[in-house]
Amino acid sequence: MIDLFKGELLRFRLWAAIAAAINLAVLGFLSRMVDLAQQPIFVYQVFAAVYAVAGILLGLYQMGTYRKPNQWLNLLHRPLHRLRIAGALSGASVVLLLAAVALPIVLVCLYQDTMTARVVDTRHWLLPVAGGLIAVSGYLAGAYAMVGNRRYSFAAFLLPNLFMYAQASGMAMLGVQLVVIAFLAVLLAVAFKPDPAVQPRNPLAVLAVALPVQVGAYFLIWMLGFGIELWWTVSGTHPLNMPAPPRGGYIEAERAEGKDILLLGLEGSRDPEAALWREQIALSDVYTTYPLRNLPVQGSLTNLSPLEFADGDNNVFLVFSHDRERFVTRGLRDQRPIGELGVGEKQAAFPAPTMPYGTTYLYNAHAAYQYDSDQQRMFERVRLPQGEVMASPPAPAGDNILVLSDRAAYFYPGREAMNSLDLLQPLLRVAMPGHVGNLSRMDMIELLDGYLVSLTYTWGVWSGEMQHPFQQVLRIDSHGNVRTVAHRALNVDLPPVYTTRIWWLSPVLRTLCLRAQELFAAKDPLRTAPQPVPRTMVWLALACCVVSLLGAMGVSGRQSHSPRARWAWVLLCGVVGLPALVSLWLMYPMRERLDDLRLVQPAAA
Amino acid sequence: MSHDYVIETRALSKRYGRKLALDNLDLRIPRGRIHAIVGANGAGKSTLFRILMGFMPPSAGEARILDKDSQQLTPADRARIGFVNEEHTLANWMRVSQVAAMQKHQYPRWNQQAYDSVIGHYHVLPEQKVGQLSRGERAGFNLALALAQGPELLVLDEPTLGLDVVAKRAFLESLLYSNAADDCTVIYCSHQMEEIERVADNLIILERGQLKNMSAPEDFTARVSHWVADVPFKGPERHTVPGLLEVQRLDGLHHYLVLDQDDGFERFLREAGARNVQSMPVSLDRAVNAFLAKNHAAPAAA
Repeated sequence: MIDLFKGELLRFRLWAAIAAAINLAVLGFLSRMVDLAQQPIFVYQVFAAVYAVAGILLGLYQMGTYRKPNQWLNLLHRPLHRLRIAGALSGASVVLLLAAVALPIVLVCLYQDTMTARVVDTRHWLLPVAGGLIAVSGYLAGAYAMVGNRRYSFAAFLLPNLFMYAQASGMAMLGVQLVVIAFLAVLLAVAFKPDPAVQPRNPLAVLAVALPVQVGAYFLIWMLGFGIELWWTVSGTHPLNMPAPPRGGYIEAERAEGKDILLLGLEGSRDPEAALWREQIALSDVYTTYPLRNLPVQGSLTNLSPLEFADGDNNVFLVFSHDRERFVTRGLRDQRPIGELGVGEKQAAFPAPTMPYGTTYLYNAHAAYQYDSDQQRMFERVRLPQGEVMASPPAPAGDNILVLSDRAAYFYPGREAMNSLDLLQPLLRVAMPGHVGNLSRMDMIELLDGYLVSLTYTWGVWSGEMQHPFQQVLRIDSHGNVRTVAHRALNVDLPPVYTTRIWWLSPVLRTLCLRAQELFAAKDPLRTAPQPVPRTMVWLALACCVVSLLGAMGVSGRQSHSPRARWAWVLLCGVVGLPALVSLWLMYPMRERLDDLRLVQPAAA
Repeated sequence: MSHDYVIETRALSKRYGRKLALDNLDLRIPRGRIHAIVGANGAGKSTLFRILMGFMPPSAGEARILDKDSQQLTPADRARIGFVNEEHTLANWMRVSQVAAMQKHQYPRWNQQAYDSVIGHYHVLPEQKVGQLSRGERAGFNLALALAQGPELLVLDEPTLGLDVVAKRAFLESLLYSNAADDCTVIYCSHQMEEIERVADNLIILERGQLKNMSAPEDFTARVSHWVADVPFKGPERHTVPGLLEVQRLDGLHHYLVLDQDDGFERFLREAGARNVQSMPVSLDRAVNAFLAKNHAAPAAA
């Protein structure tokens, strides 16, 4: 085994050295230009995609050269267990990928840590691990795609895509990557045998092979929906592309200007003051707030956006350090280290990673801050109650300041905010009528004695996660009394059979995908669980499962299965639905019978 | 099934779509000696080997190699079977010495003497990369590796394909003069009849996935006879000629290659109007080629 391992190292050592050199050159050049530890997530995603593609190409090429019939026979016809051969080949590739991907990142981290005043936290030292694991997952997907039966093995490429949608961060994200790698390694181990087209007999191995095929089929059928959208667009009937969106629908509500959404909200209001508010809306400034979808997370490998800002007056550049829980300061022009900056006079630690928002404030999940360049000090201005998290950092709302938490809207005195640096106390608290995860916008005008606020809940309609969009208009008086003056249900605009197809195609796979997305992740208070789909969609899902079950009975009857395996497949198709039927059809060829054969001519052997 | 046979198949069939590559094949190859398998392209030779090595499942029937179910071969079983294919697939990026060292580590019955004796027929240096070897040298190196494994069964699948005359001769000599080859059963698959004539003790002919002959090469040659007849006009209709493999008209004489015909064939020709009939022996090459060409596919209109 060690000889094969060494042989593969020898085979690709030059390519790995070239890749490592290029990687190091690019990272080194960029690190001279910018702080690679403080880039927005997009930059890390680009690098991750390049590493994944490099791994995929290695897997495809390496196994592709071995997969030709004579080479495959020569490789596997030896007195070594097939898994030892697979381990030797993939082990060498993993070592080379780590050398080409992870080592240059380690060197750049080392450079930033020892030769610059930039912040290098523990999370940054995990980046080489993450980069290496992404490349390895790409390699295993490519290797399995090439070794396995090509009718379905390319579905393995879906698995690394989980990294883009996974909610986990930091060490938990490395856990997700390891789970995906372990799964891909199992797939490769199952397929790595003299005849990879033959399905394993172990039911767990069959399930492992079937799962990505089913998810792939599920994804492809779901993607067909975009073809329908394309047709709607071409035919001019797509609600998203009409010159004027349908009346009373969620698209109209999302696109409306601030004044218009407030007027739409009041359309059905029987409040005696409604007519007066309509006039006031026409004359007032409307303040619109869009809630955050993500918050900076402690130990996260990447940044939503750079956790840094500059104080030009004092020649100071401030970068938030997850490890020190404070901003680390360095010279803006000379880049020399200066010190650290915490909260207030005591230089206390921040409760969570903190990032700048606009020109005045900084925020984290629990509070908002203001940096005073005269004193070179950080002041806590807004502190959310225990158990609530930030959904929108401080923003002007007329004379006052508006802050959204996941549960309520808070109004803070604008004058105090302008004239002092003390912790502000809220003037008003308005509880949210819906979950912030569904809130798409909040619009408001100032009245003489309070506010008129519109909350529009449409986030998740298009993706089928919200079934009952609505708009609610609240009247808040100066004492904080809240009165609902209008509530209108919004139309979904698109047929539910279209928006909820991700659910009715396979409720089981939908649940599985959501669970995979949430694997090892802490609960995100800014996300909402999908709402239950309409009852008609439940019946549709059931009908699909029945069709799948009946189809499986027919298809499996023409394939070679033991009776137990056949009925297990039928049951699986009944539970999982149409994607399982597709996987059954793809994974098993029709039974080879000799009695029905009409010979044409001998096959080329 | 018996352990007297290195290869044993029963009603072995393999179907590709609407075609049968192996058709109910019953084949028993006894232990020892060199057995040649010949057949036209598409006769099922490669399919048979892939099934025997466990790289393809049969559609029906049973295949055993060294008394083991071919679909259940263990690494230890594989150590007992050497295989050399026509491409001589070896790691091009490795040096000769590295490949030899790897094989030496992997095969418990490695025979360094056998390796040295075979590789000695070639001007192959240990520090050379495999990719730098000529095709003939690769073939010799591959044979040296296969024989040094100390296999009980050595399968050579068209090992001299694409080699020039000198390389072919070197390959055959290194095979024939190696003591290691004496200790194992060799299955030699080739289209080169002169090679088969030289090395094979047993001739197996496959045609359209079926076993058509298994005998000593000279026995098969004896079954095919060449008759030259001076027959006026067209001569007898082809379908009436018993055992006909091939007929040609050259210089006004009819040349018949027939299978399993005795002196009665002369009577047949004379009854068909032949004025003069002569019989002569045929070479193995001619006999096999005529046998294989007999049922070669032709367009329906031909």
